Amino acid sequence: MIPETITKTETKEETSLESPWRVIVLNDPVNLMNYVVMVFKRVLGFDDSKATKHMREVHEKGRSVVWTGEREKAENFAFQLQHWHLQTILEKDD
Amino acid sequence: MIEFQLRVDSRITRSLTPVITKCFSECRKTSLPSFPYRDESDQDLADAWLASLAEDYARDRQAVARLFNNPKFAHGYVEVSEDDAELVLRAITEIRLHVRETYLASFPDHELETGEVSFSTKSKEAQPYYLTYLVLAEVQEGLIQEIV
Repeated sequence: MIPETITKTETKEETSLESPWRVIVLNDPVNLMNYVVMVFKRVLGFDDSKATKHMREVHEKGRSVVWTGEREKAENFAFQLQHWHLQTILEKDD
Repeated sequence: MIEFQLRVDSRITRSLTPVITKCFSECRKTSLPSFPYRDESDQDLADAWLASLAEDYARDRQAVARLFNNPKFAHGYVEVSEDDAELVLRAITEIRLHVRETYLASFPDHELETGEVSFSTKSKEAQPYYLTYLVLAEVQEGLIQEIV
């Protein structure tokens, strides 16, 4: 019983560590559309059409998942987006 | 060096410069954004995150201070070094967010987004702040055109 319990615990922790995180940008009424497009291109490396698509999604739906992946990179992107004053949150991609 | 003239009458920029610098100085007291993890309980990480952001915001404000302290700015002339352009863009966003939250709270989002503002329902005191909001957007538009 004991080894099995340990194995289960290890598996759970591993899964938890590897769960991807979503970087989500929320809408605000202040930032200019071309400002948001420029920030997406600079921070996330999007091309013009992808940046515009996500900007529109933020504007029309109130939020857009702009990146999904490992936690450290997600944090890095979220920090940079907040530095540009875009409302950004991180959520686990369950 | 990035240089351009705002498409705004220089009498307006001259009259707004004190309002702009007032709003800018108030930004130093503005609260930081929320920590991006909604259910994260790591207070050390949250503290380090917000302290780093505060440092970066302070650096951006120094760049925009160089723009506002340039006597040409009061005449609607924007002069920003290429190294400062991104910092100035960010700092102006911070000021516009502050103006919106502090002085334009009575303005519905759709009025600010479309520019179709009904002044008959707003206080007279809000007008210079609305013009400040617009002039700063114009500075941002000009800078974005130059750097993209």
